[in-house]
Amino acid sequence: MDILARRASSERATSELLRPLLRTGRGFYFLIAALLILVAWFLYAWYVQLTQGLVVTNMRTPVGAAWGGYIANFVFYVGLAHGGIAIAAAIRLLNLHKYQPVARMGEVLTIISLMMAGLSIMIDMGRPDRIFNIIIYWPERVATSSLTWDVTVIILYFTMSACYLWLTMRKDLALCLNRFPKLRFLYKILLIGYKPGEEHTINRMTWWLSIAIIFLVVMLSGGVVAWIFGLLPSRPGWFSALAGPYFLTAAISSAIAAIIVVSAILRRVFHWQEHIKTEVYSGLGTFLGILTLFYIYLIFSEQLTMNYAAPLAEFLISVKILQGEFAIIFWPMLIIGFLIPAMTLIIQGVRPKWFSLTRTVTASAFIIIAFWVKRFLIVVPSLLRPLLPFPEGSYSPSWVEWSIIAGILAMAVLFYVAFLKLFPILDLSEE
Amino acid sequence: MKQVKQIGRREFIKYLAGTAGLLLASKYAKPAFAFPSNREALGPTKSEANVGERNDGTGTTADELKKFAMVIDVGACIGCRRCMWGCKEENNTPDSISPLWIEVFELQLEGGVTGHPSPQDLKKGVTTSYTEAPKEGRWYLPVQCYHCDNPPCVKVCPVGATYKDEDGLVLMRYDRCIGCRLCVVACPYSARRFNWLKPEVPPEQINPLVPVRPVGVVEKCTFCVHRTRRGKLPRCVEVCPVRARHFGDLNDPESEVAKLLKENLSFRLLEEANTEPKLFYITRGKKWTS
Repeated sequence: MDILARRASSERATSELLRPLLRTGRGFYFLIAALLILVAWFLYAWYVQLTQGLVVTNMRTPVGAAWGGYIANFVFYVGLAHGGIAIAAAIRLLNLHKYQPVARMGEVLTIISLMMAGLSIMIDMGRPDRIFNIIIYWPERVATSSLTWDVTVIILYFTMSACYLWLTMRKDLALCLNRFPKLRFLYKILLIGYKPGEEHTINRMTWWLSIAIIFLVVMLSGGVVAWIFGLLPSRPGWFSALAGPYFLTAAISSAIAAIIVVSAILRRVFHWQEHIKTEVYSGLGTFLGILTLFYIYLIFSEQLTMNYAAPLAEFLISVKILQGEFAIIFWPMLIIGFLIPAMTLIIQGVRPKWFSLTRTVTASAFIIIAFWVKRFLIVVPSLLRPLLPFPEGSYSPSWVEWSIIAGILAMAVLFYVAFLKLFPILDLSEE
Repeated sequence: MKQVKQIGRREFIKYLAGTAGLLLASKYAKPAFAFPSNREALGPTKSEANVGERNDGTGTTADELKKFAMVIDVGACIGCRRCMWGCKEENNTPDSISPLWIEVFELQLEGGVTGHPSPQDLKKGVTTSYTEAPKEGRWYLPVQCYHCDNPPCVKVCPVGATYKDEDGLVLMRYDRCIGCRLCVVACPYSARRFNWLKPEVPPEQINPLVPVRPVGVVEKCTFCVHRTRRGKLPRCVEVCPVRARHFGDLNDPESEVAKLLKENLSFRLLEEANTEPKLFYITRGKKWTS
């Protein structure tokens, strides 16, 4: 191919990669309008909660649940935030370069999920105006408080992931610096100190950064978030050494499922079939299937322990989940949300001929929803039966809680779409 | 493109040492430098313990030689709940806090120490709530914050809003609490209460010695710290008509509680939780029903 034709085809390729930034269809405006309506409703619900107090939720103590939908939401979003590093680790540390196309999608998912996790916590607090007390009294409390550990690790993880995203984005920003005059100012800020040969140094930095982030991942989801629950004998069902591995597996699984769904949607919307090959999905799908199957084993292990010869408190909580008022969401979650999708993904992995992208994405979507339900089932049932003979309570989220949970999801999508419109989400430099 | 200024290894180590030195110095610098207006909010130090009003509203100081404890005679308690309502009046507890700081359970004799109705009993409609007491074949168990010596609530608080003071009381700093409710879920005795809405107490009923709490903070029994540090008894002990409650200083061998615990078999709830509660139950007395 002669030079002109090569340059033309390279131009075409770049235009394809930059499609979100170049074209804005009608569907985009509809989506933004719908999301803004949801976010406005969420802000109204939050206003109601701020003015009337947390009484507008259905949380109550000691008869009832002190924590509910918001905390389940928090744990869920922290889990999703592992996606970025999971893909980044696969690429950089295991040299699985076939996942490169979805790398930045995962990293953006991480940043946005962490922000939504922090927002969920802030909304759950009785005094969000005092949120900085967590920082002010950090030195005093970091030695003993599991929540302080959680705050520490989350802030560390967010900072490192943001750095990772920024560092890996620079070369692509430099490449399209001149294509988008309106964004040039923004790109210039992010390209501070840019030198054309810096990729070599950046690669080394991000290699070490990924190792540090992986360590934090274990400490985060398999550590501090789990220990908020797992270290408390006051709540039967929570107090378990299994809490760490349990939460970690859930986190990585839900994150991979989210990456599959998000990247598949983007791939379809922007016609990136050539750039994101199906082998990405067969690899991720199989891994997700195995992890989800492992998670089902962990669920079984937990319920067996709470049932076999367990103390009364644990036994009754397990009965609540398996046969009582939560059975109606537990069993569908287990069968439709985990078991069938996991088996589908594993069978597809074992028999590559049967692979179907639609099936993979559907299975992943079910798995994500099932994980939100599972987080809810971790937080709430154990809170409903105190160890002392207070009457048992009940809990299901109020309209305010549902509005806020939906609004947080809408906001996450809104931020993601904003990123798509401001920055290249695919790597430009590998052609 | 500007060339980034190169610094040598030696200079870099100097910068590092300087930063480390600054960080170390700031750790040992007096907190008053950093937060001059928040001095007392950082917690009472030994020397500050004698200075003025502390923000638990008591304006009193802990005596490190004391170890406050309470003893309740379960055999004597008739379940009248005067302790519950007396506590509510004394401590400005609003109607929005329910159950109150003290809760009295009505239990059947077969219930055992924890007294939780079994699932079979629950199906038959047995509850621990009641309106008339005393009943034949029932016994009454008042519970409240036990001011544990190994309190999980104090351990988990991310801002130090709940703290264990030197005389054994577990107290609250209402103006520090962020309302995260981790202490509420950490307490195995469900002793803590949360202000889900703005508490309203009629002005004429407010006890000026006790702070009225704001919305969004956690509260609980304080063993009437504003009374007990001035040598008086907690309100619940004072109003009990059958003298089932006793309060005092465990470190004083002549105190009522020390003597009661020496002479009677006592138990505490959820011993295996390793919280070392300081409210003991004895079963010495007879029910007073006439």
